[in-house]
Amino acid sequence: MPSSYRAYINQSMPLTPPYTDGCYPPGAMQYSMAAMGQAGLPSRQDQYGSSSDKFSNRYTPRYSVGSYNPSMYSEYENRPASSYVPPTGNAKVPMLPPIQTQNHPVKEYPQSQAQRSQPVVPPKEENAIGGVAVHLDYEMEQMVDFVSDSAQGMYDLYQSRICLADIDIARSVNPNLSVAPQFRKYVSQVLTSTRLPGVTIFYGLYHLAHRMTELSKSRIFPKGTGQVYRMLTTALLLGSKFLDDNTFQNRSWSEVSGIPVAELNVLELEWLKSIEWNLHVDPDHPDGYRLWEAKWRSYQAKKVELSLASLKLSPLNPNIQRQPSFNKQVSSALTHSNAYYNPAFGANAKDRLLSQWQAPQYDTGYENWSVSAKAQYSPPSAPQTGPNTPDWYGRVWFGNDYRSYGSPEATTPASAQSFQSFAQQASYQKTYPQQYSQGNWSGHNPTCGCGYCVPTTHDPFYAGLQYRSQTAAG
Amino acid sequence: MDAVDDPSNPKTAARTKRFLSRRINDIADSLISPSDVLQIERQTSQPKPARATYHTPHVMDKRHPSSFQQLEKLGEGTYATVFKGRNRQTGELVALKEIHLDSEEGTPSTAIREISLMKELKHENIVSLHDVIHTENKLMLVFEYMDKDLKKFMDSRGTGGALDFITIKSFMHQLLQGIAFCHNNRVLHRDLKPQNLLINNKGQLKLADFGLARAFGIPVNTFSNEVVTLWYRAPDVLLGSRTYNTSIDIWSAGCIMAEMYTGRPLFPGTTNEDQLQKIFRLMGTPSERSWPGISQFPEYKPNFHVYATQDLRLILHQIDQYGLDLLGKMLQLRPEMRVSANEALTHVWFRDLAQLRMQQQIQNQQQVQMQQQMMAGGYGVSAYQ
Repeated sequence: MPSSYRAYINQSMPLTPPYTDGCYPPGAMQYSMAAMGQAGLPSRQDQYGSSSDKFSNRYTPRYSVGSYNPSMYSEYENRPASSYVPPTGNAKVPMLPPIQTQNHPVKEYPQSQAQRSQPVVPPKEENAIGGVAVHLDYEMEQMVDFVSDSAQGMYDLYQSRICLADIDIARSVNPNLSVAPQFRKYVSQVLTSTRLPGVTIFYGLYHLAHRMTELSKSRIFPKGTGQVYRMLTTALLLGSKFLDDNTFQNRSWSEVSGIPVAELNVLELEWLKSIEWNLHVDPDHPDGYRLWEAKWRSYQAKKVELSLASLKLSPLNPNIQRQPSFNKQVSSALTHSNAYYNPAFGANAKDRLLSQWQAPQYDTGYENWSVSAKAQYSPPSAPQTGPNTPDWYGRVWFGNDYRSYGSPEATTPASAQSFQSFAQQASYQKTYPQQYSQGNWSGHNPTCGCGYCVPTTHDPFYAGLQYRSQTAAG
Repeated sequence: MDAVDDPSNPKTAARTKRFLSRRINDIADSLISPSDVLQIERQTSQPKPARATYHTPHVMDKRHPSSFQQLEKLGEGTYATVFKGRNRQTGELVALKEIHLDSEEGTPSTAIREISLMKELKHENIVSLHDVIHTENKLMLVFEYMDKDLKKFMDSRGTGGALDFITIKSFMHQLLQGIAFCHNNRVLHRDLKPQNLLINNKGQLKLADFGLARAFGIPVNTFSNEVVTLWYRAPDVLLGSRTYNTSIDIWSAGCIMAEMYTGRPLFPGTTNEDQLQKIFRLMGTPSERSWPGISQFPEYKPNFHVYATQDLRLILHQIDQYGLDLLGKMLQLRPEMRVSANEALTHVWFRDLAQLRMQQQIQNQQQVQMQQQMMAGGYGVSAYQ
């Protein structure tokens, strides 16, 4: 065959898997890929990879470069033509308008690259952990706060055994409650791994409120500490199965929540039966999904207000980070941050400001929020920081000193809250410019071992992890 | 008829006779008011108190699977198998959709959607879900029984699949009523095709298979464009839109309408691109001028082959002017230009529907009378023994 002819064929169908129709135009690739799921990918790679090492070596790097050069397709001629030209290929090629073959490889290129890189990720379950939404319409840490506050708050009301039907559960949640750090950690784990769209979360919260009200009406109060975990997981699971087009198996929910899959199956069906399968709620009902959306908006507004406040205040205190020792009690640390303290923001605000104060802070307060806003595209949900590895949240960050801040099991409000805020801070961190490093600034250095310096030492490492995970979770 | 047992047995014959005459009355009634018939059906299909041995505390477990006699298999889908069944107590025919519960997957999201949405959508043009029965490893959905789907109905006509214009008009009206009800209740069907439209012997058409359906009142950001069987998929979805709305169901309805005229699918594409090309070949290739913003779609190619718009009448010879107008309004490339189901129902094309039905009803009644005469002749002696 003349090389020009083969090059033509190659261009028109370089990525068509051998087992799809030969006339499948490359423009439709993404559909077929999505349909096959990732399970289909490794075999495809085998197909290409096994034909010749030379080819597979060249193939991969070229796709990761990100620019298209038509001549690269001539490389493919080294492969046996039979492996990608189906027997009927000759007859079918003319079905494609020739003009498209000149253009589509360029257009398809980024896609191909993405698909190429997928086999690196372990198949199937990792895919599931990749999450529902590629781009989130919320900021993850804020949403974790919101969900854990709301769920815990409602559960507290539920467990107080007042009749929830008599009150408005969603509006009665104590705004100043303290959420156990392990519960927040769990919520963070679930949300970052599943990457549910905001609406799905609100839907889940709506059903959670509804379910607790119904159970309370029937005077059913399940015992055990894990109930709120189970209920929240089931609520989100059902919301996702009802609303999202890409859904997880219960097995994946089990892995991310730690609840055995058999138990989840039972919880799911019990829930469905108890609501008689009525998951469809009038979206315009003021007490339905809208209520939770509104609650989320006001929650966000509070945060913005807060960050604006610190933005306004911090220039007055350029040296505020010069805190003598981290071993101070939380309450005494607070006295150092009078400038940050504004009674108008209440206790929660105080704690959050405190957390900014405690974390190494070389910029104005709003830096935290802008960094975290960027972080929504790089969820800590990748293999390294997946469902079972959030250890760094507490331990690594604090180095050997973490015990002095209370173990993760500590539940006294003050230490729990500060621990939690501190952990939250960890995920925001990014590398600070060198001139702001501890050594130059305050006389600390990475080896001084004080609690103040440990985070900086670890900083670049974890920032790096996050950005790597972005690729994998793609 | 399906339910006829051995007519040589006198008792069976008597029962059959009663059954048949009831069916015949049903047919006659339905021609006047289908809703009345449905009312009757609903009343007869009300769950009877379960026998004590089967009683369980669960709300949904009013019945046990064994209260249904499982008859032949009607079809097999991706996640379920459908059997014909008969309620042992009432003799009523039902469709039993069995969904296997996978221990890894839990309850399939398709089942969750189908059940939760269909329990809400009670309408004469939507297949009604009577019950959900849960056993250890499967869910059994009990639907009203329908005789065949539109595809089989068309194939059984012996006219190469094409239907007569009265039937088309009646089916389109019912289809649009079903769609309008879904849309008014904030549900997108997302998988309308002849195989998912069920027909019964009373000439009723009902929407079925809500496994892909989804509530849309809630803003979405994860709509999949993997919806709707390729041939009935709207161009905006083919172009990669994920912000589609009710208009995708209207496109499918338009494709189905054309198919009823010809007996063949209007756009039988093999792939996404081929599908788009087939659409453009008939409807004309859109441009930024005819469809502002089209170049922003993910699957838009600036070098789409440019086709001129064809007259739909060239392939639909039988269609009348009003029908053509309605079809053109449903098959608009731009989703925002497509007619809504509610608007379509008020289209002038449907104005003579009542009159046409009346004519058909008279014809049918004549047929029914003939059938009754034949039946009386056949069973007259044994039935009243």
